[in-house]
Amino acid sequence: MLKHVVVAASLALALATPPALAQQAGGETIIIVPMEKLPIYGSVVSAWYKQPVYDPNEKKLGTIADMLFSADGSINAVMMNVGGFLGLGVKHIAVPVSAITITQKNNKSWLTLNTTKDLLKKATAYKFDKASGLWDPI
Amino acid sequence: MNRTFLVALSFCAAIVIAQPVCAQTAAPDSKLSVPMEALPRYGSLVSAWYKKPVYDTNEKKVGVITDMLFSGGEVNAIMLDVGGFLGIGAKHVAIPANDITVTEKNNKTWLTINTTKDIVKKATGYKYDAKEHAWKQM
Repeated sequence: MLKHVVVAASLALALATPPALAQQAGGETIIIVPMEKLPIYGSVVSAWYKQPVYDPNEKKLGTIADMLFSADGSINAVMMNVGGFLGLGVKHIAVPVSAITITQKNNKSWLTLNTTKDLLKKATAYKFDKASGLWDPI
Repeated sequence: MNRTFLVALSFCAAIVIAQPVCAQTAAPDSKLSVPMEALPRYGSLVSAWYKKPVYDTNEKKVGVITDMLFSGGEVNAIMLDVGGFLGIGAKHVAIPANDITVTEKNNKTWLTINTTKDIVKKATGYKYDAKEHAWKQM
């Protein structure tokens, strides 16, 4: 009997690959079975979140404060705290995830963003609104 | 002159959002990144998920998110620390991102997964290999 449940659930999981299937409005819930193997991945959030980001000259630009993603799992923006570096005032800016390059340095992840202090200075600033749980332009 | 420069860059940023990979052209003289002028649409934030507990539908804690795997800007698995079973140390299972539901509870983010202890116990376990910076099957 239990076997049946698991098989049905695995099938549901396979079907769930196109996003958004898991949360059906109808209230018919699907039991989730963890993945039997990992999908192909390029990086892990733990190597990015709260980690420093440098310019190509290895000058620290800031740290990653957050990453925004959609219901389908795509990461649409990386929020960076650039405050206190390069003489900039405290501020958060947004960059596309693809703008940041990840490499290795001394056996640790090294994040690089090819930008300038001037561009960061001019960039739109955002602030996290705790009440709404959203990032808003200042 | 400066204006033209910025416009051209914004255009590139738009392309980058649509199709990851654009930013990392192997050439070192790659394009400068301009921070985003407006945030793209997003459903949730990594800060609301990373290191946060996940509950079952009966509000029993299933585990804690320890990592999120992504590829080309797509989150494709959530690594959930489901604790030790049978006296063995921590076990991590992998869950597709869209199988975790995010809601609010007492003005805080609340993550739910519809699974059972039994399913999690039987699921493939993974462990982070710090040397290789990769998650490996246990």
